[in-house]
Amino acid sequence: MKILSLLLLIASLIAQENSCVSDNSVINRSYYSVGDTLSIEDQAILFPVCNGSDNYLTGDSFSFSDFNGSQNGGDYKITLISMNATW
Amino acid sequence: MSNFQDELRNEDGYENVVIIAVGQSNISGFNNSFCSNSNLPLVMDQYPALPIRDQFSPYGQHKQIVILDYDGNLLGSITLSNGLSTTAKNYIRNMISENYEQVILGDVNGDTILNVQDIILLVNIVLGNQTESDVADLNTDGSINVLDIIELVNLILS
Repeated sequence: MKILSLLLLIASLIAQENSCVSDNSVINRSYYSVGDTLSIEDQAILFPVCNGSDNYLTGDSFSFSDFNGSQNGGDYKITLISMNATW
Repeated sequence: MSNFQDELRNEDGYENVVIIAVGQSNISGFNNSFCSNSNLPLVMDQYPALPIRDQFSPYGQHKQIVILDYDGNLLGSITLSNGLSTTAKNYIRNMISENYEQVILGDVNGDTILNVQDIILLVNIVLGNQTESDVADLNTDGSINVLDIIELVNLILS
């Protein structure tokens, strides 16, 4: 039983880790200053969600167009992007 | 930050504000710690390209908050020193306040969501059963007619 629990724990940790791994695909992105508008193409770029919350599950994909009503069927949001990693 | 999101939504009434956190994909220790202590979705900036950070450079650094409006316009940014200070909260609140009531074409009932309710109201406007509204002129041709209804339907279905 303990071994089974340990295996389940390891499996869940691996699953969590996998959701944080990206494919490192090359993205031709634009660069923005205050006052600029993100291009539709850049808004559509998908990023993996490492920690699911608030309508996202761990492993889902995120894109900025998720919050643009003209792209998502009319649900407009103001978005705060909190940069949380030490670069 | 997740507490601040709750404040904005529940105390300030800004239901249509979302906060996402960005981490980078190669520091799993930080990410796992974040996941244990926050209720925000954590989006991965893909190492080594780090496209999110670079797109918003020089605003996309550690402990910075970037603010986008309804259409993806970059409104501004603020750098946090230690946590979310009152000054930072006020800056963010002011920025949201200035942009929250932004007019959305097709949002006839003003709930900031485009859906079938707006279509019904728009049809009523076209039929003359309801007062005209500027946001009902989706194709901005100066008149409100069936073309605007088609535009709204396409927008909702897109």
